[in-house]
Amino acid sequence: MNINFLRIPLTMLYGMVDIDSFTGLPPENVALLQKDYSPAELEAIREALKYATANPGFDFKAQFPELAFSNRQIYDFLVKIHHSIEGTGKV
Amino acid sequence: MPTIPTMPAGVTGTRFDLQPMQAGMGQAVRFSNVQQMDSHYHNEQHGAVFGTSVKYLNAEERKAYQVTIQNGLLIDAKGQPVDTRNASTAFANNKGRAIFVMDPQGNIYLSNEQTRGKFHHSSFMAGGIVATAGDIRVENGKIIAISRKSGHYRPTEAQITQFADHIYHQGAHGFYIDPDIS
Repeated sequence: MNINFLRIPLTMLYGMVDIDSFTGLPPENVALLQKDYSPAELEAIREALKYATANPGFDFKAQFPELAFSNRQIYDFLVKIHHSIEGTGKV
Repeated sequence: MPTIPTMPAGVTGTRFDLQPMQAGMGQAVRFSNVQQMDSHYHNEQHGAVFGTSVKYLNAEERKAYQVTIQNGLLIDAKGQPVDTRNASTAFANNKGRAIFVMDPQGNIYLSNEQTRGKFHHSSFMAGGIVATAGDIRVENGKIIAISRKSGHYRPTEAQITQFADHIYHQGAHGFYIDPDIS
């Protein structure tokens, strides 16, 4: 598992004002995943998200230290991303 | 008295109609207020940051992304008006906006493609310095709004203002600068 792949979804946090109101990727964004990434890259993103979901104590903030969100907020954000991807059955 | 148009949907911020302070149209430009890429992203082109490799354009490849302002409209390298309304990528919260940079000579590069982990602001100048970076909303060549949102460069307010001055001098008027969302 390559934890660096977590940084791909984490880039969404730049410019995000209200992280707590984020509800997950909309279906149209999930549908773009297969266009944007190869099967191997997608699998690596999913593995990293799976690891993140199972490890709330991981230092997510260290991935992008300048982000003004708490580790818990970043964890919750990643869980929502994970659920929106795994919940569709299309990826 | 000039009328201020209603702010377009999805745009916040202030309309840019200030008197420009940069060199006039047609004069050589060299911006000294430049920004280096954040050091966190070093070696991203080799997969060291995102797992995936970020594309770094060479000088020849860069030409395809250069845009110019002609008769007040933003025109792409093929001579067509730029339109960003369909710009979208899976992990994006700036739907309908392209990413752009301006180099120290005032050249502007723009891309509707912005796949995270593969193509970022750093792609245009291969990780080199820029005079500003951000995202931009354009409809049929008309610039609607700009911002300095770039995690790679995190430009200052002065740097987005020098970009606004630069394009204003070239005939792009009536656009908005989004607030502090760098």
